[in-house]
Amino acid sequence: MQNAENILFTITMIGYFGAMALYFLFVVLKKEQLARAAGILQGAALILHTAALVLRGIAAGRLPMTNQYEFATCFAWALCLVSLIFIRKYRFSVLGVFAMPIIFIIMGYAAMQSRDIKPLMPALQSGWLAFHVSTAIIAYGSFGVSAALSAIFLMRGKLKENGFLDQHIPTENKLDLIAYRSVCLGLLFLTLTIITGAIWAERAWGSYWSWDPKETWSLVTWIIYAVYLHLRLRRGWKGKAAAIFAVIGFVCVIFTYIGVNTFLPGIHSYA
Amino acid sequence: MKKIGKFLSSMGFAVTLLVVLAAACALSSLVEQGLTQEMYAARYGEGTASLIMALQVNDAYHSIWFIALSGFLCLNLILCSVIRFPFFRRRYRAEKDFAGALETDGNLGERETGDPESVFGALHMGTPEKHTTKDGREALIAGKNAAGIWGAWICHLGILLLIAGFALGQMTLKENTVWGIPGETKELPETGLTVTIDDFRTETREDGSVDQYVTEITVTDPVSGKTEKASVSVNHPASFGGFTLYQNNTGAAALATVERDGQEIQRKTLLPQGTMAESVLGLEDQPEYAFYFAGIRTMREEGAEDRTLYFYDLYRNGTLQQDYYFLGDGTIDVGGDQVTFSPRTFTLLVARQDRFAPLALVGGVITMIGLLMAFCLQPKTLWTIRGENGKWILRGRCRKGQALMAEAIEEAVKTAGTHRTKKGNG
Ligand code: HEM
Repeated sequence: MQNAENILFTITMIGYFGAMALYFLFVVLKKEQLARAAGILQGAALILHTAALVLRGIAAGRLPMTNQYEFATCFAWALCLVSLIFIRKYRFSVLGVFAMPIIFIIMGYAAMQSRDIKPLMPALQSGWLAFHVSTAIIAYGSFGVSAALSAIFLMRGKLKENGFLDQHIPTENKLDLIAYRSVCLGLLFLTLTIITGAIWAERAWGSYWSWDPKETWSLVTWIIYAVYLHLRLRRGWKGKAAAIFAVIGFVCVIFTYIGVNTFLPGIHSYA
Repeated sequence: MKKIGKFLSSMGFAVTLLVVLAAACALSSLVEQGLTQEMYAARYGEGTASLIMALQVNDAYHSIWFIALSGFLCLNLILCSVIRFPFFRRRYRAEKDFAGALETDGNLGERETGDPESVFGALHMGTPEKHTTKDGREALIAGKNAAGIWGAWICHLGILLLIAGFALGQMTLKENTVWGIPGETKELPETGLTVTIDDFRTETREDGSVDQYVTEITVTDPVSGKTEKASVSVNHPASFGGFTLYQNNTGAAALATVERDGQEIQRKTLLPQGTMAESVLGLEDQPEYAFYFAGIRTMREEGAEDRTLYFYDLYRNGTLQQDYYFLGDGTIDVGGDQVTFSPRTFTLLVARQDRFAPLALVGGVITMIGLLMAFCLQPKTLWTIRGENGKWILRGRCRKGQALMAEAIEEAVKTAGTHRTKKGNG
């Protein structure tokens, strides 16, 4: 089973790399068909990725979301899914150019982690685990997409000089709106992540909030996106400043996810 | 005065506070909390350590400045919620005011259609109501998601309850930590309860990994005389007399017994490398002697089982006499007394009472509901007015995402088979 999973994982990596290359070529060579091919390849790789996750889930007899490897590959999976939905819904292939590298890097990070299936330590054996982690994954995926969209928004002036790209990027107004929607999706799920995490922490450790670095950083991330929401309501701050906060927010997400485990001590050390 | 109130309730102040709060949390998380000045000095140098202590960064989340920042945030939210309440109500009423809407141009441009019902249907606006404009023209109008107006207000209310629940919980929290080995009875002074540890076991799986830590306890309330048995394990706390008992930790300990002429005269459980109270056994009948539980070391060898060594130091009048180590039980003769050390595993339980945790949870849930309403319920109204030529003029309004809504209307009108007259201004 694990062998099959490893093979699927590798093919998925190759698929994502191919899709990334096609998205880049689409922009460089200005050929519509390349974007379509990239979208199809991304979708196909996503299906294989899903299969790899399902196999792992069956082998482990639980949701495959409990260690660094599993969380990273799920994170990339969610990012891929959310970006594909946004690419389809808003006919916005250029998003792939920005989203695929993030997905590829996170997959690379996953590839470097141990893939052993280990039984869960007692604190992790809880029904809340599935809830807590799957909401986090959706939140992270949405924030990744909003960061990519905001980066496009911030670079739009430059990108506009290219007539082809100009045609393929939504208007500033629309970009801002799509980024806003994906932040909303992310914030809803981050709020759920924090609430389910607090309920679980209360049962496992006795205290629902203990200012553990991971908790603290998820709060920092939550506040940054709250600031983003408010800036969007203020004239003069709406476009650029808000977009910068959406990018900062995603930097916080990445730090909450990888940096906290690497640099700071705490009770969340396993995932 | 009015100016100060306006500033304190402003969104600009809110954004500033939130940014400062986020930065403060982020920076504080980089400094390990709860260490002593000496420990900080060893890590960061004397100067930084003094600064950390002066600014209370060693306990940042309970420091005066952090509480003050949170207090200002609450004040800001309360003022903003109270002052803006009439504004939200007005806005909600305006959203529900169909007659008023018909007299405006909306904000989604203007189109013509011959088939208003199918346009309403395609945009999922439901069945429109029949109305007449002030100048007597026939009109159809439908609105939805007006409740979404209240989303931000409800979200802010939830945040206030959450902070209130958390703060009150911190102020009234009762908490006791006890550790012990089976057979011991411990008092929990904060809770007024007594806990007897009947049994403690580590359940393992076939591969040797730990599945669960389980402590069997008997809890007694000395005042009421009530007694109850309970089983506490990780993720499965037990409740008693308003307190909740959690399985928090475990580790190695040693049970020390002192015997004279076959008679036990003293007994104490020791933790390795802890404080005086935790790790030192002073002989009651020979006060010049004391043992210190100096530590544990596990020896690993290929192909052999792990062996764990237990180290004990014997002191006489404060000077080290000898160190001993044993693989398991060990007995030492001290002036005719037999001191026996036996390895044990201790269990650490936490008893807690946070009466305001439910308030914080309610706050969290209300925050979530507010966010859902603010994000998912986009208030929109769509109306058509019968024109002179028999065609219907289609207008609408929404608060956010006008560009996308205008596009959707465009699509709907096209599929309903008519042409547009004026471009949307989204
Ligand atoms: C701390 C003080 C805060 C103040 C004074 C404040 C104030 C405001 C104000 C005046 C609005 C505009 C309402 C409107 O016109 O529709 C607003 C919107 C909003 N606020 Fe706050 N806010 C604060 C904190 C927060 C926090 C921490 C969150 C957490 C997520 C939050 C979530 C929201 C949401 C979701 C909206 C609606 C945004 C939208 O519809 O896009 N607020 N806030």
